[in-house]
Amino acid sequence: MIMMSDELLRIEELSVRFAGSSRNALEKISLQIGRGERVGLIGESGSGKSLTALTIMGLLADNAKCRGSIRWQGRELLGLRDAEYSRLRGEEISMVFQEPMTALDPTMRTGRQVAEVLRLHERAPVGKARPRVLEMLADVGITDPQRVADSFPHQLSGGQRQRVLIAMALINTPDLLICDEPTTALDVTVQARVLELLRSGLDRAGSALLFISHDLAVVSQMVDRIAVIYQGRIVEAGTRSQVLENPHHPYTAGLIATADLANVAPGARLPVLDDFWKRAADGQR
Amino acid sequence: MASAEPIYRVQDLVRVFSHGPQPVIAVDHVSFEIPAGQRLGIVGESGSGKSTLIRMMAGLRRPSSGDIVFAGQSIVGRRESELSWLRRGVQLVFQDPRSSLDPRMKVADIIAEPLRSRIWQGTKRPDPFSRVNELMAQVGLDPGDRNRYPHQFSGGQRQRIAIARALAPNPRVLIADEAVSALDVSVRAQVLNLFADLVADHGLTLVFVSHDLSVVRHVCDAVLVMQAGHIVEAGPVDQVYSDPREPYTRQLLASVPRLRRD
Amino acid sequence: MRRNPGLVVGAAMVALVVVIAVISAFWTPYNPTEVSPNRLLPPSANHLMGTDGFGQDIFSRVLVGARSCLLVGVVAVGIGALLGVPLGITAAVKRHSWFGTLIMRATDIVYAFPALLLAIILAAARGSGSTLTAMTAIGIASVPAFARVSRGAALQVLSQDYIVAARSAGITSGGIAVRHVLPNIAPVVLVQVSVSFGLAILAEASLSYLGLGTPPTTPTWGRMIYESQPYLYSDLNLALWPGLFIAIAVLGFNLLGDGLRELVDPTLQDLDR
Repeated sequence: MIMMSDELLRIEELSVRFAGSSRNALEKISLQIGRGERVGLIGESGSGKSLTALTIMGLLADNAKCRGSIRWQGRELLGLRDAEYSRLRGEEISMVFQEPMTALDPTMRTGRQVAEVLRLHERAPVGKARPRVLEMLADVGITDPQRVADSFPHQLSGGQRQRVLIAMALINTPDLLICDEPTTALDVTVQARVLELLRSGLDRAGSALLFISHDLAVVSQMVDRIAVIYQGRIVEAGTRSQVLENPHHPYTAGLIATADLANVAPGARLPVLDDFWKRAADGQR
Repeated sequence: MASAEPIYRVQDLVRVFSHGPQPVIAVDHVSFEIPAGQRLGIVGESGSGKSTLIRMMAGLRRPSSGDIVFAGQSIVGRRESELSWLRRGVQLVFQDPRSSLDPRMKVADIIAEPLRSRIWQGTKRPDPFSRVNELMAQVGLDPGDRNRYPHQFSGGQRQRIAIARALAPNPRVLIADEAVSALDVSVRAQVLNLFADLVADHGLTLVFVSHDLSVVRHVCDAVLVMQAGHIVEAGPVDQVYSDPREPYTRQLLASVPRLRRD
Repeated sequence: MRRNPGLVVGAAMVALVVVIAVISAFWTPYNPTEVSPNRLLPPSANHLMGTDGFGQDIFSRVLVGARSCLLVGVVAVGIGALLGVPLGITAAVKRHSWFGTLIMRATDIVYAFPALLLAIILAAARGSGSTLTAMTAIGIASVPAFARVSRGAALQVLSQDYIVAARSAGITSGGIAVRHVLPNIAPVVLVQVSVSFGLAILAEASLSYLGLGTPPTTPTWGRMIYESQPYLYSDLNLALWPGLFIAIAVLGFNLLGDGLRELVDPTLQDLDR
């Protein structure tokens, strides 16, 4: 029964379909995340990877119909009332989005926004929250937490905003953190720093991670297990070395080949996904 | 020795922004030359001044001081109506095709836009209809889709539309501003291959701006590294990539995420 | 459309007003301006809404009133949009120069000026109130709203990279305004048209009520309420019908405007991805 207590999230045969659409946006997706485990979900735009995150968070619009099962620590999440879901969100599961500007309220100082998350879930009074907020901002690598806490989002750089969001997501030490393309909008140097402090933040909080991205190189830096999603289906899943050393699906092989430009001689033609689809078709013939 | 004349000569270029409480020096005494046919990478983070630099080179923003010479003539201090030769000769491809393509215009009208402006006064204007078909085929799009709208295409296809528009006036220089940064990594390779093919086929001069040195290394033969408005390192791309002199360049290189397989 | 009942209801109310306006052009049960001795009759089969203090058929007058109400709306909103939209776009394009600032300050001044006062001045200048005076005053008063809405939307469009691309293609700022800005702000302007239409109808009713709008010979809903004043306590009927139709028209255009806004607001559609 050790397996049971170690399991955090179990998604089984989850399908999602939008009203008026003739095909499923997600098709029988299964995915497990254990306590403290870091899992990557990789796919291109439109593959359904962000939709998976929104479904887990219970944030789908009401024109979406879900079938299958999402069990959170043994408890079914599909069909949960919104009031109960809100208690879960931010406390047990939290999320970091791609666009740090739109994920923050432009009219509220960032320190108050971080404190809000803390207060909502711990009912800490305003004054008590402040030291904890500053500590959390320092933890995510912000060198002058006082100033950042008193700034409005537009006064901060993209990297600083993303750090604030990570601080918000980790302040309640959630059991699971979902990151949806958290560094796509950032420069490489800022991305490297943000990924680093995300790792140390997770270490401290002991949270599990679901890391969603189109960038396999970034995903491989962050997770132990990888699931590959293509057109709403998970086409391959396994440990990082299983998937990256010995991919079974041509799409996975294509993603690996396109992930790292350093493996190709400068000026040479870069491998593209189509090469691998063709190769697979030829192999079958 | 006409061939020795560089296509671009940038001399002591400065741009100061004085909108805010304190003036910001976006580009600080920058000088360099681009020989015709070179593929030059400009690398730096946001705020390094690289975007301001290329916008000045494209005649879209006025320098505070210094000079830019394109094809033997200075572009600084000229009125818009005197820049037709620059507009025909230099075209841009932007980062995000969602923002660079007018959502209410058909693809054919987007691509033909540079053919429908005043820059053709006194010159023979190519026929937009046949030119659009030709361009769409060149960038790997189906000319049968010419009457569709941008949102009906994928991200990679939209960037191809933007590239076709840039090629429409048959420019000598293509400036790509983070042109693959907003694309999925798996789509990035296709668009980079397209850039390489087009540059080779048309004998273009390429200015490729990116924050990612590994991308620049792949498509360029020379590179400028910019930090806080200055050029901190310059040289052949292989040398800068394998033997960077500046700590900042080393940091940029180390930040590029590598695939970890173990 | 599916989850936008406001839009449907609003469109239906507007359609009702348009339909009765069209009908009134061809047919009314009585001559709406014919005075008769049958004063202050209650609603009956002969006079569906009764008769007023001059014995005129209220139903016929309500029908004809729809026409002048729409006429005022069309002309006033036309003036507002035709002046306001180009001003707003120009102010956005020239935002860095004194000219852009001047435009917005000028519209601020008009904005601070009550339409009523404007109408009184215009009426005084022309010697009497008329439908044209009312329409012009209301139209000018609605220019600032159009200018502001267009400027805000145009600024958003001008920040897009396709504007930079157009400039580097050699397109003039006039060309950019017509080719790129206008089509992209059209949905927002359409919403404003609808909202302003409702306001114009209301303003015309107030002006007519004050005797500054349409002359007595033309029935309008505002004028009918004005003329019902002496009978307000004895025959509420007289004010009730025109009041009801003013409410329908104004509410209809506002619901339509809100519904359209919801339809064109991209932030409300993103979730359906």
